[in-house]
Amino acid sequence: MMLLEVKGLYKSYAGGNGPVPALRGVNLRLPKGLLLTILGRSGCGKTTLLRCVAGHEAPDAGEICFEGVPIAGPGHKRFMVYQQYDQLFPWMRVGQNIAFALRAVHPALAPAEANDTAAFWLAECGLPDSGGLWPAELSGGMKQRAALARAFALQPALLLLDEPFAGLDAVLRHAMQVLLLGLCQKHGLSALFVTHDIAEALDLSPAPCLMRPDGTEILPLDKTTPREEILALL
Amino acid sequence: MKKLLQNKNLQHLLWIVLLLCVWQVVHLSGVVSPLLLPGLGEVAAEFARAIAGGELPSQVGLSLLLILAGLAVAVALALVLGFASLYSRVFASFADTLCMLAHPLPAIALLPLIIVWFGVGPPAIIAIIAHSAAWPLLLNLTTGFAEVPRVYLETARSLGLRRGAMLVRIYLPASVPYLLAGCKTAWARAWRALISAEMLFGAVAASGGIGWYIFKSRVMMNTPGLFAGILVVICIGVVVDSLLRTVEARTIRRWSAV
Repeated sequence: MMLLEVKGLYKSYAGGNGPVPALRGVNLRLPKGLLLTILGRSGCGKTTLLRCVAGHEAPDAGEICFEGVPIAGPGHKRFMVYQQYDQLFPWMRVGQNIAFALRAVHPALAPAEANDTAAFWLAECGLPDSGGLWPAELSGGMKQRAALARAFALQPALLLLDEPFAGLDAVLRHAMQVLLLGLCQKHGLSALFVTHDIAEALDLSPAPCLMRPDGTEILPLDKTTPREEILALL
Repeated sequence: MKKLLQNKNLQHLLWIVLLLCVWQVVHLSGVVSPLLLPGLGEVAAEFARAIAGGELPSQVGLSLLLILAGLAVAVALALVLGFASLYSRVFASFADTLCMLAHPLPAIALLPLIIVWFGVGPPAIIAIIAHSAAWPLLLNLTTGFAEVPRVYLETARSLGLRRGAMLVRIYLPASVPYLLAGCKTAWARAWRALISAEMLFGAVAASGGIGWYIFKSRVMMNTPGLFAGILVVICIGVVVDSLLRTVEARTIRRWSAV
């Protein structure tokens, strides 16, 4: 059974001159335990796809099956990490952010246990001893590490990543990619990662894909495909 | 000198001392009749007498009690209307219209009507304060709610937060910057309305308040008392302002990157 199965997904947004189509009949299958990257140009609909899978947008047509069941709205099992640096709640300290998320999802969890789990995942994401800081005190890269820590702490069945490293410099971006890859392998997590960066899409996933610019289909990419060919498809 | 330029409190203090000196010099020069401008000593003596006699503390206490009660009503009203607007578009449009009509209406303009409805006792003053404060609070609250970043709301929904938790844990804290701005306006309006209302009502009922104390001093031609009352009003304003600034420093300045 596929962890995620998207069939014939259509989604358009309201625009000034009528609806603007974003997704036109997209299909996608994601087996459990895979980190799948989707490469696409800006505006090709890859973020829309992610938002539909997260349950934040309702598709116009088509089906999204998650763990064999059609999805109904958002849920913590499909947790999203955004491109924006400011995605932690600024009115809670970093550790509190993670503990709050944990206790929202597992109401029976003791506060002390939630704090311990938060500290563990912050350390896993390279932010040991940062739980007491305010999100505003973190740099952009640290904020994304903390956002990853929150997502990992929830142990979602599927991690949804919307260009989370887009704004980081090359060195930091590489470090974050290594971190994500390592954590996904270590903890057996499945992830859907969308990006407009060719190298990122190819490096991160054993099964990179490409989304056509008109949002019609998602094609598998071969790691040996020359750049020129990929660029022509984008 | 460098230290002085950095310390705002010290600067304020120096200017205040200077202003008081000018006051005393003008008083001593005899240019203005001492009946119109009493000396600092007389004001201080009157202040001490009114405090020792218990009149000033009881009047100030009454004013503060009234404004707290009025503000509590205003906060409750704004929260109920704000929360209801969040979950019903029809209600949001109604509350918006209500705000548009009531926000620009000065409390004093409502005074005669409030007297007819509530009499001239504390309920009337509380109603005036509630009217002065509720609309700026509601206006800022609804703006704050509308400006909550989508990422926070989506994350909270993914975490499965229910309606009540969504309001208390996400909408309210995310709107604190707007809420504080609303509190500042609400306080300023309520405080003005309270003093004016007390001056008008105190003569009729026995309730009084600091506004009535100032007004009564004028009637008795007790200029030192008049100044003492004004100074108390200034002090309360400064204290509340610094309280609000402390809250600001503990919340939004910590939450937003500087």
